[in-house]
Order: sequence, then C-alpha cells, then structure tokens
Amino acid sequence: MLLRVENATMSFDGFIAINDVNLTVEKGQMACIIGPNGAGKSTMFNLITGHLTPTEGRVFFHDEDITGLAPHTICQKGMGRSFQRTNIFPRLSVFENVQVAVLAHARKSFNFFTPAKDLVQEETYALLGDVGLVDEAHSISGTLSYGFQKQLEMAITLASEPEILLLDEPTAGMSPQETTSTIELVERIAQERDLTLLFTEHDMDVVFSVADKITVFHQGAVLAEGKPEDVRDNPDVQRIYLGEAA
Amino acid sequence: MEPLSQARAAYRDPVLWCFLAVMALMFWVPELIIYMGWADFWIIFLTEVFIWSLFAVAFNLLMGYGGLISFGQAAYLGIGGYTAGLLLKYIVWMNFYVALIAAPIGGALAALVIGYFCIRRTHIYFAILTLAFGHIVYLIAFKWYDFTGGDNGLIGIPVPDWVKDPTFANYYKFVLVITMIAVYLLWRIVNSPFGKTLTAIRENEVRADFVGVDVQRFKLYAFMIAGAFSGLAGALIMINERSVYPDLAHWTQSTQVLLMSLLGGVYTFFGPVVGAFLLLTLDADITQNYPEIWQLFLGGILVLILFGLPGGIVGFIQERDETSADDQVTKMNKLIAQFSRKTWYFFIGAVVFTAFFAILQAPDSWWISEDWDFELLSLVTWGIIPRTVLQAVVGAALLWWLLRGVRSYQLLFRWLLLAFTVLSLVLQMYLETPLSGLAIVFLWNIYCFYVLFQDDIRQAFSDGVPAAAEDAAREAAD
Ligand SMILES: Nc1ncnc2c1ncn2[C@@H]1O[C@H](COP(=O)(O)OP(=O)(O)OP(=O)(O)O)[C@@H](O)[C@H]1O
Ligand SMILES: [Mg+2]
Repeated sequence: MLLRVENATMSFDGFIAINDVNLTVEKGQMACIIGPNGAGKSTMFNLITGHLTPTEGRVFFHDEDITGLAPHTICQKGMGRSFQRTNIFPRLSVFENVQVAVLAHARKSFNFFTPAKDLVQEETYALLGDVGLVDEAHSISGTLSYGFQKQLEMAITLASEPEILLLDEPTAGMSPQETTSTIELVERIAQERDLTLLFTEHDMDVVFSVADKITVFHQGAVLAEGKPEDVRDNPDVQRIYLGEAA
Repeated sequence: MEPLSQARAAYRDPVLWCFLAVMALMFWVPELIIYMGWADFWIIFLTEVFIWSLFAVAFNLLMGYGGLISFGQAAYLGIGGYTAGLLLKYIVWMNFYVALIAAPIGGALAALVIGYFCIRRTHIYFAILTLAFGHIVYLIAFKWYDFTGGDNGLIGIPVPDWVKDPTFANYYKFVLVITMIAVYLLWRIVNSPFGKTLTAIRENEVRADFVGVDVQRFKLYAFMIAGAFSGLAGALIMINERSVYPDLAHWTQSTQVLLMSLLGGVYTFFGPVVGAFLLLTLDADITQNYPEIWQLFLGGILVLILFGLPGGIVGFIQERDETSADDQVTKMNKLIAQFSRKTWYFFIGAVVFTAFFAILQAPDSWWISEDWDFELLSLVTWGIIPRTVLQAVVGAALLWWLLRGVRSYQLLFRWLLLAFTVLSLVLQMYLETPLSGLAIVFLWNIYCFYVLFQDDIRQAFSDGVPAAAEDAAREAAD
C-alpha cells in the first residue's frame, strides 16, 4: 500500500472537518475524491501532505508513519502536490520557478556562492518540455495565462520526482479546451513516469474518464467508495451528490 | 565543463562590473578632492555613503529578496560596533583586524538567537518582533553602564595610526575596499541557489515548502547573513568615529536603512546603494542650511516615491513591460514608447530638482540679482529661475525632436539623445548645481544608457526590424 490514512479526524476549534476517515491508495492507482463544497477534500490533502496535523489518526506513506512531519520532509519522501488555487512563484521567471524546485530536490539549494543561472539547466528544460512551456521559459510566470500557470505548477510538482501526485482540482476555473489538454497532460505524465494519482475534481466527465477508484466525501466523512460504476449507482451518492448536479 | 560555465555566469552581469569599476575608480577620489582643494568633508561623506550602502544591501537581502521586513536591523549595526569597540577598548593586546572580523561574527550570532524567535512569525508579526528585539538591544547598550558605558558611549577607542591620517583618505580607501568585497559577496549570495530559493520563499512560502525547501532554515540563514554584514557595517562606523553610542542601535537607524532600500528599489540588487547615496546627499544638501525642514522634506520624498515610483528609482530604471504574448515588433514599440514617456519624467524631474536645490543652496539667487550683471553667454549670472525656464523650454523642444527620431528607430538619434543627457549633466556641473540635483541628472544618464544599449533594442535600431515590419503590415493593409 503506497498511501494509507487511518482513522483521521481533524477538528478546527471544535468544528469537525474530517471525521474518522480511512483512505488507501495503491501503487499505480488513479484515485479520486469527490464531494460537495466544504466536504473536506482539501483538508484531507493538507493532512496527508503535512500542512495540517490530524487531531487524531495516522498517515502512512510506504508503511512509514509520516504523521506530523513537516511538508518539506514529506515532499522529499516522494510526494508531490498541486494546490487548489494556483500556486507558483509569480514574480520569478518560468525557468526559475522550476529551477528552484529542481535545486531543492537535488539538495543543491544550500549553496551560497555558485551562480545559480547555470545549474540544473538540463533537468529544468526537460521538465518545461514535458509540460510544453519551453518557449515561455523567460517570461515572468505571473503574466502567463491561467492554463499555462497550471501547467507550470505541474512542472514544479514534477521537479521533485514524486511517486504519487496529489492534485487538488487540477482543472478548476479552466475553459473546456484547457480542461481537455490538462487532463491529457496529467494522464500522459502519469503513464510515462509510472505515477500514482490522487485527485479531487468537480467535473464529473473528467472524474469518470480518469479515475479507477472513487471516494465520496460528505460532511467530513466517507459516504461511499469503490469502482466508478459502483459509486455512480450508489443511491446515497446519487441523492446527496450526483442528484444535486442533475 | 561545469566550473567554466559557472565562471562565465558571474562574468556576465554588466551591472555588477560597472559597479565594481566605478568603485575601483573612486579609489583615487581623495587625491582628486585634495588636488581640487575641496573640503575634506566630502571624503568623510563618501566613507559614510559606502558604509551605509553596505548596510542597506545587507538589509535588502532580507527585505527585497527574502520578503522579511526587519524593523530592527540597527540592532546588528550596534552589536557589530560594540563588539569591535569593546574588544579594542578593553583587551590591550587586541589586534585591529581581529576585532573587525569579530564584528560580523557577533552580528551573525545575535541574529541567530533573535532570528530563532522572529522567523517563527510572518509579515507584520515578524516586523514587530524584530522591532522589539532591536529595542532590547538598544536598551542594553543604553543602560548597562559597567559594560557598554551606557548613554555616555564608548569613547577614545584605540585604532591604528594609519586610520588617523588628517585627510581621512586612508580610512576612505580601507572602507572602499571592504565595501567592494562585501557587496560582491552579497551579490554572489543573492545569485546563488540559496538566493534564488530565498526569492521563491518570498513569493510563495507554502509552495516553496512543498517543493522540499526547509523554509525556516533558509530564513534563519538569511537573517544571519544580513546580521553579519550589518555588524561589519557597524564596526566600520565605530572606527570612523572612534567611539560608539547606543544611538547606533536606535530604531531611527533601522528606518533610515528601510528608506534607503525603498528609495532605491527593493527588488533590485543595487537599488539600496543608489538609495543610500541619494538619501545621504539630500541630507547633506538640506541639513547644511535648513536642518529644521529635513524631516518634512524626507516625509515628502517618501510619499512621492511610494505613490509615484513603487519600485524605487532603480526599479523605475529597470522596469520593462513583460507581457509575454506580444510579438517582437509590438514589444519593441512598447518599450520605445515607454522609454519616451519615462524620459519626459526624468526631464521634468531633473529641471525641478536642480532648480530647487540650487535655490536652497543660494537663497538669494533665484531671481536676477539687484546689481544686474545679466550676460548673454554666462548662464551663471542669469539667476536660477530665468535660466531654469530657458533650460525647460529649449530642452523640451530639443527632447521632443530627439524622441521623435528615436521612436522611428533612427540610429543617429539614439546617440544624440545620449549626448543630450550627458550635456545636461555637464551644464548642471557648470552651473554648480548641488549634489542632489546632479545625482538625478546622473541617474537619467544611466537610464538612457541602460535602455538604449540593451541587446534587443540595439538590434532593433541597427536592423530596423520594427520599422520594416510596420511597413510590411501597412502594405498588407493597403
Ligand atoms: N484552517 C481552517 N480553519 C477552520 N476551518 C477550516 C479550515 N480549513 C477548512 N476549514 C473548514 O473545513 C471544511 C472543509 O473544507 P475543505 O476546504 O476541505 O473543503 P473542500 O471539500 O475542499 O471544498 P471545495 O470543494 O470548496 O474545495 C469547510 O467547512 C471549511 O470551512
Ligand atoms: Mg477544496
């Protein structure tokens, strides 16, 4: 088991955002968490990546207990994530955005005197090539279009050579074309690099075309879990979630 | 292969090399000052400018690169000054250079302890914590009579004989060399992987954390580096005065260095140097005659800068339109249009500034003097207002014509415009405009040179790319 969350509970000053949740992701899986707004999907991600420490319960990665470790430590262990709101370094160039991540991964950040310009060029350009941003390498990343920024974030995430990718709504706010190309990109990269995927998504077409396992969250608890067909046919899910959309 | 390309990277930044070259030339300025018979004051003044430049660049490592706004940076200035001062004063056999090296170490250690607490908070809480700790340092210096001498300070600190030469030239040169080395080291640091990572943390701490960067550790190191170089600056100030007072650690010094960075531009490496130079020149020009309006003036300048030039002066010079979607032609045309607009700002600024300071220095010369010695060819005798009007009218007409040529990418006009700004500088020197006025005109020179001689613009002028493309577009439209 690559990732395992056991009996996680997260309470914010008494408000229980995650209530006794168990979740597992196997290597190579395309797992998806769905649920209405405020169901606790992003909070779950934050528990896994160390941005929050669960009030109760434990998180295991490769059967190693990572509960309470700092995010950068967890990242170094091979976990990559993107954030719900685009998370790049807006005033740095596209190249620098990725370079910083590559340097951190190669443990070359703690170097005070070597000019950074020429370090890890090859790796950085390879990543930019993977997401199709080589032409934009010297643009200031904050001036890029939204779709490009999401692609850039993907490159940043991949720089740490993760085994598992946690994507929080990778297509939020995108046009249909951007959504299609982003999903193609994610699928291609996951396949090429043999990545495991855990993502959240509001667009049901995307969910059912990509995921091979779906977990439905509702008010901080798991409502249903299983293969896409099973989840789709589950009456509870249809009532609280899919029904809403229909 | 790797080391070679790295060496080239350091070699490539022309701004750094210009700075180092100018500093190297300034090595002989004391000789010039003595030769020309100017006041020794200017040697001391420049020594101070160097020290504050060093302090400001160190401070800006935190503020500009790390996004960590420290309101208590003077604490390290004080700690450096007192470390070296106490060592020299109380340990008889203490070597001058050992004491000087101890200052940055003291600064770094203090920053390690204080930083340990401060970096746990962000934004305004961080700022307030640095302020609080800075004040504690000040109070220790102020109250601990047995150790620091309290508000009497430490006086009569022994320094080697060569420091005490009557023209102050030796110490000037010593500070110059140390500043060059220190600024070069800081430049290496901000351009190293450490520096790049620090800017990433400034931009987005959460994301930096989740690419595997230990954010706290980086911040602490940045804090210590800034503390070390600030401590060095403090020791240099102490030696300059051969005494040290608690005022060195006072929060007003912290705001002074903050102002320098803002004035020059926080997102540029050399902005704080320009800021230090400008602020101290303004100070010297104004305080001489009008000590009482200095604060008022400073406040006014600050408001103007924050509203008009949010990127500071160097930011204003370097700023370019970075919209990535534009094609080459649009980009060039936008750049030139922007250049022309900014040139007008500089022109207006230069006219107003030079007149203002000229009047400030010679209060009764603003209108034609009573004993009318109006001479057509001697602008000096014209009175400041009439000749400023003349400068504005003639200058504006010339500038308009020159900029028209520049906008149509005529090679000659690029040179003419540069000559025009250089001549303005020469004119102001002839008119004996105070240093603050000259500084603005000088910055204008730098600006013109900086923009017009950048690779892509130079190419556009020599190949006429945009003009050709425009013609093609017009033909297509017909
Ligand atoms: N730091 C916090 N402090 C207090 N409450 C929080 C915090 N973070 C999240 N919550 C609450 O926890 C609940 C779950 O939020 P979460 O962001 O995980 O939802 P989500 O499923 O990601 O929703 P969306 O689809 O809108 O992204 C919400 O009610 C939210 O208000
Ligand atoms: Mg969410």
